Amino acid sequence: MKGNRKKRLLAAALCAILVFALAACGSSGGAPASTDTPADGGSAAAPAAAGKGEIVIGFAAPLTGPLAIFMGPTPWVENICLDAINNAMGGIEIDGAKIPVRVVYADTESDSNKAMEVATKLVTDDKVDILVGAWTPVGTNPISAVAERYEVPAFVFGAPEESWMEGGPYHWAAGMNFNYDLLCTDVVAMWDKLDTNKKVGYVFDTDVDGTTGREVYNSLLDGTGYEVFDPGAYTIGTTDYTSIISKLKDADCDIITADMITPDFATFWKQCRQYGYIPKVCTINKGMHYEADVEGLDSNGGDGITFSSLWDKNFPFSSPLLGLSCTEIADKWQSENEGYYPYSIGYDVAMYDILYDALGRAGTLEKGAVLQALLDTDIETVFGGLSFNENQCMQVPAVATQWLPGAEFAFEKTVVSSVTFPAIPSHDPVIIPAATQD
Amino acid sequence: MELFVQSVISGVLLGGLYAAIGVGLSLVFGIMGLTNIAHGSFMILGSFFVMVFSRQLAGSIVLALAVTLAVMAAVGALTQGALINRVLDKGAEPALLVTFGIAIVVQNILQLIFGADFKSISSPFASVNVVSTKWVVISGEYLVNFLISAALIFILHFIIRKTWLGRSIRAASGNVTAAELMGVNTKRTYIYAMCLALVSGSVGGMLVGQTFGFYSYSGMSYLIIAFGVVVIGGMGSIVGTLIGGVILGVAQLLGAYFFGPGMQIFIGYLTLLVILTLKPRGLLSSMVRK
Amino acid sequence: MGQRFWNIKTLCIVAAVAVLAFLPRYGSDYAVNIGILVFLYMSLGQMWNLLGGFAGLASLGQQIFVGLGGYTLALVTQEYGMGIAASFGIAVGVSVVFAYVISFPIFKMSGVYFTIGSWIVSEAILVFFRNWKFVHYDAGYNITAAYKIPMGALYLGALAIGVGSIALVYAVLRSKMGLALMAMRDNESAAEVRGVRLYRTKLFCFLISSAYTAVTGVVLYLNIAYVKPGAAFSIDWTVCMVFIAVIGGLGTIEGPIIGAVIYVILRQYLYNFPGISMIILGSVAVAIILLAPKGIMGAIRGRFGVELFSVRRRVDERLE
Repeated sequence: MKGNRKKRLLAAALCAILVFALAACGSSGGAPASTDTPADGGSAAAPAAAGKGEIVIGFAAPLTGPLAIFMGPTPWVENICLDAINNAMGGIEIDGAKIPVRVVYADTESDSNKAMEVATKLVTDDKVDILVGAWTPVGTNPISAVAERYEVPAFVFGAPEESWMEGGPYHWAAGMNFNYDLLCTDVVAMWDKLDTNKKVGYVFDTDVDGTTGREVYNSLLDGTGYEVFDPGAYTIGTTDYTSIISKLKDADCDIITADMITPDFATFWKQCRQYGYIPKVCTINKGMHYEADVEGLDSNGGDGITFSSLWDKNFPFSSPLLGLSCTEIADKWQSENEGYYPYSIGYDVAMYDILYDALGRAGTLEKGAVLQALLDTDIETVFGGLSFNENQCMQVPAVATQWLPGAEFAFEKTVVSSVTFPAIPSHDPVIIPAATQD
Repeated sequence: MELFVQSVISGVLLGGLYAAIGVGLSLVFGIMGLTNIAHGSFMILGSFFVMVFSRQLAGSIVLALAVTLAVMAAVGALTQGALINRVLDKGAEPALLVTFGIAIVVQNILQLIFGADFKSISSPFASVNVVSTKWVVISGEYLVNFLISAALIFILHFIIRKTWLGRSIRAASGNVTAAELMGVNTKRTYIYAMCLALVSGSVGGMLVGQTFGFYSYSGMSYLIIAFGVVVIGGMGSIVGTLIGGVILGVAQLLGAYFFGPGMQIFIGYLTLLVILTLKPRGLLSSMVRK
Repeated sequence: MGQRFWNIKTLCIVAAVAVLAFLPRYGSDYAVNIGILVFLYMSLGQMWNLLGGFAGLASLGQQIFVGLGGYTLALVTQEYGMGIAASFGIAVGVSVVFAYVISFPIFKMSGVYFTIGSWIVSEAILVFFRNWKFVHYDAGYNITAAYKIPMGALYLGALAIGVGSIALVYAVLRSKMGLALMAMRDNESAAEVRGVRLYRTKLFCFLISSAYTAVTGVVLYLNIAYVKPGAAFSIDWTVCMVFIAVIGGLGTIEGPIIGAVIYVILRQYLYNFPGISMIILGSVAVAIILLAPKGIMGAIRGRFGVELFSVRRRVDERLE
């Protein structure tokens, strides 16, 4: 009997511990553990004791997983931009006093479920003043949803405007995204410059980019003399493309337009050549944005493939915050890091340009005022002049670009068509050299 | 018609590669009844080792593979001895979670070290076609993959059937108590088995690295292929793995031939499920356990 | 009878639920958010535990039902403009039918074959959804109807799901079928000899677990508000279920409660170490299993013999 009572008491204690554990995690929300950032740029300025004393930007970013490749230059950009804001400018003036900016990172693990979880943590635990989310709809859409739910201003970038707007219209979220319609228009303008049989083969996956791409190309190419051949969408992760390749080969397509992730394209492109099918033009969206991707294609397979570049060092614009032109930024990156400059630098720099400008105009951290200042943005930055359209979206360039063997790196990119953003200089594209060899 | 023949041939050859991915898993399951979730991540670890060593050893893939196999055998011994052996007798679920944990740790450490870039291992056979007619193309790469896999499976089969090591492995996989009474140290045998599994897994990793390329987190997507191949072949059956691989490869390509490219992977899975419904222990289950 | 019903334990449990129900009043937004995650993940853990811990069905395919729940919610609210409440009923219906259909092939497999077979089914469903026009292919849905749900209400819903999952497992185990499950867990062939209808008992558990996992999925996606095949049918869901059930203590009702609290709080804490959080999480999982192979509740029971939710039947307490 005694043992029994003891057991009951223990059980009651266990029960109480469970309750307290929950309550404790609630109260611990007030005093978050110290947060590490990948770069130390923000810690240069000491936070003031009174009030919050700093502006906190919460960046829900894919630091690990398939999308982590976009984050390569982020710590470097954070370093130079926060150095410019906090040290050179002495911070941003909020309520009459200059205070520093700090960036808190949270890892979305390239997963939309986690993206929502970490964005919620940034808002409710770290109490960030602006939420930032990035790269593909997996990054932008859940974070915009969190912004709408908790009514905090959010700035998201790096996804097609069309798929971001699937979750809209937004009130609290503002985007800096490219537009698929414009992207495809530029690609078609590039094809126009080349001598082909005007037969276009689709290689699209069933992801949102692929389905959007099919619709946009279908409507753009209708009645323009191009003939479309669609072997059907494939599923991401397919390891053998025999069926698609032989259909494209039979249809004698001179042009391939593909929307594939890097490993899928690498496999596809290698198998194309094994089957003796080398089209004159291959435009690959999504998979070939980085020089490492192109170099990863074996036996010089990257020579002449085209894609839609989202930022290029030859953009004739500059960053007001850094006071550097696009070329200078890319060169600075290449001198301080290894390898060819990644285009995501442009997005990261533009983000700091825009947030610095908006927060400075807001002059307060009151959420509605910050949002309003952000939406009023009209700025010249590394993408040229940017302001928000009726979707609360800034349309950034996505211009047709070609990978060609370079002097310094194995491959370097050249803009080959920019009819949608005519301020950007472009060259003439060339037909894939391997296609003309036999 | 050409496409049909081409699909079957490519499917068979691709199946050889799938078998190389799966055979180590089959071995580990047959011998210790372990569902090794970490197999895919270890395979990719092998890919990274081959890539790194081939850069340092003047681009020699053969040398790089030799070093990799030695290193991976050590990794296998360490993992099995220090971690998995300690939970194997505690039931299936704790062991499952331990291998989950190992998989997550391995792939995240790889990403931490090598970054998130796309990686590939250059192959001397990538652009060589063995047969190249109007009707049928057989790429050197696929053929070499198939031959290496077949050789790997033959060697493993020989080790299990004919050597001292194989005898103790078979003894340990039959009846643990009886084997221990006969003087077989089962835990040590498990270590040998895991070494063999990781060694064969790294051969698969090298082939995957050459044929498809890889990321640090690619392991999970190959793991499901490995599992599929192993279950239809019959867990523990080395030769069954090759048959399983070929079935999956051909099913995928014919799926694309008949139903369009979107159905390629789906038909592969569907075929696996149909076979498993008809033969719930796989086609050739030699080492029956549980 | 009344004395037995209102014993200390029951009172404690009622008090605990009451205290938790008022958390939104005194807790911060962050606490409410953590509460939601704990209750929902606990429900997932309980349902996996019912399968893996009691019915001997170690499935790697339960993410199917999380995904079905999420997609039901998305389709019901975004495509058909119906209320959120309707998705619960539809999710139960869809998942029971689906679970029943796939039970034919996968119940033929046993042990590890079942484990892997269930994963293959789940991968097949994932690929199918990616190619299914009706659900927008791989594009997924933004569940805009969920943006404006008050977090207090979502919290109470999650609490109800969590408490409901405990009550459900408890009720199943205290029923006649519970006895059969215990007998099966201890010795499957012996139980069959003694007249336990293995197939029916397992099927019943599978249907219950799947339906309740789908209901939990609906609430999970009310919280997440963005559903995509790759995330909805991700093996990560089942990894977290296994983590919660095994770390907490397989085959106990308390286990998933402890497991979920540890899992959620550990993850939230590790978010402060971006980039290496998964390495730490994986290592912690391995370390806990090495130290306490039967999970934390298993270790506590082994040492103190305490049970919060006893599913044992006592002959009569006076006999002690």
